[in-house]
Amino acid sequence: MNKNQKSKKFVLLTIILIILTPLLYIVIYHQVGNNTIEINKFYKPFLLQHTKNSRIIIESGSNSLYALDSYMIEKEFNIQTINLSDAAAYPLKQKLLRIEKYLNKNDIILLPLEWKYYSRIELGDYFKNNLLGKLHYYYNFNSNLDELIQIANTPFINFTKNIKYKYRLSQKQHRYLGKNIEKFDKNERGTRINNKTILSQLTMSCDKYIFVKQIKNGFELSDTFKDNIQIIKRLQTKSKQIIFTWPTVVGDDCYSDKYRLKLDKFVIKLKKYLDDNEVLIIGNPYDSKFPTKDMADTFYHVKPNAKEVRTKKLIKLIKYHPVNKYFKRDKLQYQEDIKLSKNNMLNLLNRTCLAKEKISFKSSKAIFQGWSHPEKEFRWSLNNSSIIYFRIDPNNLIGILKLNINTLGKQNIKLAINGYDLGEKIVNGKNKQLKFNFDPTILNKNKINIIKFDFSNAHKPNAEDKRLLAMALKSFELE
Amino acid sequence: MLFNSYEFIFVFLPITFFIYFYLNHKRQTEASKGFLVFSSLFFYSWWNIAYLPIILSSMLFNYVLGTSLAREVKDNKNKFSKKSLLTFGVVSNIALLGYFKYTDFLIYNFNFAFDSNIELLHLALPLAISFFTFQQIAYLVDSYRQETKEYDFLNYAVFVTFFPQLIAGPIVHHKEMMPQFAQVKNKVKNYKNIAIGIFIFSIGLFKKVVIADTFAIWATQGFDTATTLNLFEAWATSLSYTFQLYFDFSGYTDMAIGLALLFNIKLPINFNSPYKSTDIQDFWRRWHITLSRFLKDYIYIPLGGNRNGEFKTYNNLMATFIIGGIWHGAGWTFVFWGFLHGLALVVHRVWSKFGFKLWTWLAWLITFNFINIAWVFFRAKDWDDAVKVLKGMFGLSDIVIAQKFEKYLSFLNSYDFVIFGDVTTHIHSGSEPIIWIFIGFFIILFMKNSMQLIENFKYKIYQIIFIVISIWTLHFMSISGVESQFLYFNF
Repeated sequence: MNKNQKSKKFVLLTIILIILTPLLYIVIYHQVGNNTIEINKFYKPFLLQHTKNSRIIIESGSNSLYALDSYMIEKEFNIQTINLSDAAAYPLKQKLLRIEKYLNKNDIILLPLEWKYYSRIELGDYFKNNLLGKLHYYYNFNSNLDELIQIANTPFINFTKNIKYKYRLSQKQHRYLGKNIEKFDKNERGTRINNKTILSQLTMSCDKYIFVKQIKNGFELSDTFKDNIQIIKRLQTKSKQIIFTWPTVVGDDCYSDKYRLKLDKFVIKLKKYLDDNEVLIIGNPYDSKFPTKDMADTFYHVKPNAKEVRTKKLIKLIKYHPVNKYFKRDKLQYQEDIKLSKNNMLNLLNRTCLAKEKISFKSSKAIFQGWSHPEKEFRWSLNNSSIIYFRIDPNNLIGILKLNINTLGKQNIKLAINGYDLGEKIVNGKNKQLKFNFDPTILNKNKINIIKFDFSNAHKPNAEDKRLLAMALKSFELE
Repeated sequence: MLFNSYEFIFVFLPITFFIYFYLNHKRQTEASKGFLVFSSLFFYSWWNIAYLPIILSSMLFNYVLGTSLAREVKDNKNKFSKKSLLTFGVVSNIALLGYFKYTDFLIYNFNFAFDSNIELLHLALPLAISFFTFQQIAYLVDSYRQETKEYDFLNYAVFVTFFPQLIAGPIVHHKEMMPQFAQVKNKVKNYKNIAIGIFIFSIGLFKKVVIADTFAIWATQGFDTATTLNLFEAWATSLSYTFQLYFDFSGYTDMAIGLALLFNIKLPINFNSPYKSTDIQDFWRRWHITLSRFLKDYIYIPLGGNRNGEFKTYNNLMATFIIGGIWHGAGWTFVFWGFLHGLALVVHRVWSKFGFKLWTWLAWLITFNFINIAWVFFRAKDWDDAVKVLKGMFGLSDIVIAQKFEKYLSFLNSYDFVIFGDVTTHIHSGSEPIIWIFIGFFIILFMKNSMQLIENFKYKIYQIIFIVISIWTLHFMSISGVESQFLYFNF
């Protein structure tokens, strides 16, 4: 090959590789982005993914995170209520697409949106840079073009960090299952308490804070919002009902006279637009305005007492509105829903314990509920009852459960597997091995099994430690 | 439009390249030159179209004057008129540069000296004005000396505006450019030049985006943000800028040389491993070579050079470097930087005259440190910033030693100026600058420079991989995806 041919080949190969590199990048990005993590570390996406049947889904920015008590709503209407609200800096479009991915036909979506969502919003750098990693649950797109734009805007360095992060999450996903189920059992539904005090650097007025986009661009319904309405209309066909309501704002100077006229006009315009698009909106903005004394750390964050007031107001509003027909559900149906959701979550445990396998206190082959955090060599039982969920093939078992434990003084340890009582033993001291015999047929082959411990003598270890402890589990095994 | 932007690499460059060679292929030589001028002016106007009339009128003025100067020689008219014409041309060019670059500086100093209150004009410096002004002054002098041969405006426009070297050099001579544009073989695509051109361009891109922009973080933190710097931070700051400036400017030059080569034009070398220099004269033979050439040919020698005795030579050296300093920017710190280099050259000259010799490593150490310290004045926005960095470098601020060494060096606790703690708090960077400074030293001292790398170009696959990585480097490295400007665009 002469030099000219060599040069020509070199140039052509270079050009081909320059073109192929981004294509390869796009393919990998797409694959990683669309790869869903089944057991999410983050509780809200976990709830959305794994709760079943009827649900009320609250989606908004942080105003509703602190202002709407989802469990209070759940108890009132007997419908599982999950509060997905997080940062208002994250785009509504991505929030809606996330809901769409896991939407049930019986779901009701409640949208007490921050004012900024009605204006044009650009994606923030934090959101763009973490969409594949920390915010991976928002990785959903309306079209391939949208996805391509996102990919093109993600620097490779973030891509690598994100991939690393997501890979670790997926590797450790079973670790989060127990914690998330425990939260669900404790009726945590995504709402948070904000007891912070007013930030000293909060120098701007409430209106300047909440209407930041409107003051800049005018009180207009942006194209961004109108595009989102198209997604909402699509969600309406896939769900029971979508309801708009107003954001909770807090501060004596909120909705001041200076902006009141503009706000009222805007509210009329918004209501008309939603009416035209057959989307329901309830209440009025002033219902959810609170005085400064209820402010936590910003004009959108209320203290817990105001949360209760706001939630009650919203419940009342729904009850006296024709929309209440969608909220009628009895207690039995609700209990079934909870059971279904819980079983669905437990079924995520897909690792099976082997006969004679030592399962440690922090193994991801079991779900530990009612236990304290894992320490170096063991984890303490918490309060008077603790549970272990696990899977096992009972065929090769002779029916012995062995426990390696320490106890806090003298303890009565009562044990049951799948509801069958295995008896009670009194233990005192460290490095003890307990044996319980059982009939292997009480174990389920294809279902989750439960070991339930009861500790009648659980107590505080000392004055400083408020936990009620009884037994420190090191490992268990079944023969 | 920056060389390190995607719009340049993937849109402007391919379009310009293909149309230029297409027109040449169709034997539309004049049209191809016209297109190149148009593209270059488009490239220039991308930043701010308001500057376009300035460069156009400057070009027209110098072209008319240059042609007149050359004609006068041909017609052999009286020499007084020819010299006046040249003087008028040079003064006009300097006046244009001076108006935009130095008016505020002069007003500020006038106000300071006479306690007056004349308002500053806050003029924006038209892009590349320092470079195209110097290039055209050189053209006028060359015309005066009968060293120019092309008198066609289109050719002249190509010479001034050729986009690879328009913004920040290399500063080229008319006589070294025009014959290349005229050669028939250069009007045809040359794959060897394309391959080497892309390779040099990618080296430059890598130097800029990966190395210079990384050092820029600590240089900016240290010079502009931190209010105080400890010993390590101050050295990290000054060395970061020393490396940033070199990799930024030599990176730009590599890109310019590579781009020109795509069009079969060889631009002169501008950097030749300057930080390997073992004396200051050696440094100026390796650093911004085309500027040094200009200063020598058009300032130092016309002032008398070394022809009028030692004392006059020293004066000429000082004057040349002070002018060189002020060319870089309107500020006393630049003047002082030029003065320091002038002084160093005088000292070196005296030293050499006496025949003193140093060990090579010691000579390198002294030269490098002098250059590094002098850059502090070049970079600092004002005297206070320079003093802040220098105070830290010479241990006049605290000496902070990493906490982990306290158990071995606890006896140092008795000294008030020694603190054990976080070494790089003020430049927010942990141990990263240490690693990068080592990398910087390794590259400048032990690696071949870009010109040496292409001496025996081998067309290897690793070279292709390097090009691909470099081209996508912006995407690989950038957090925000926004490319950063080159330092020399400010001068």
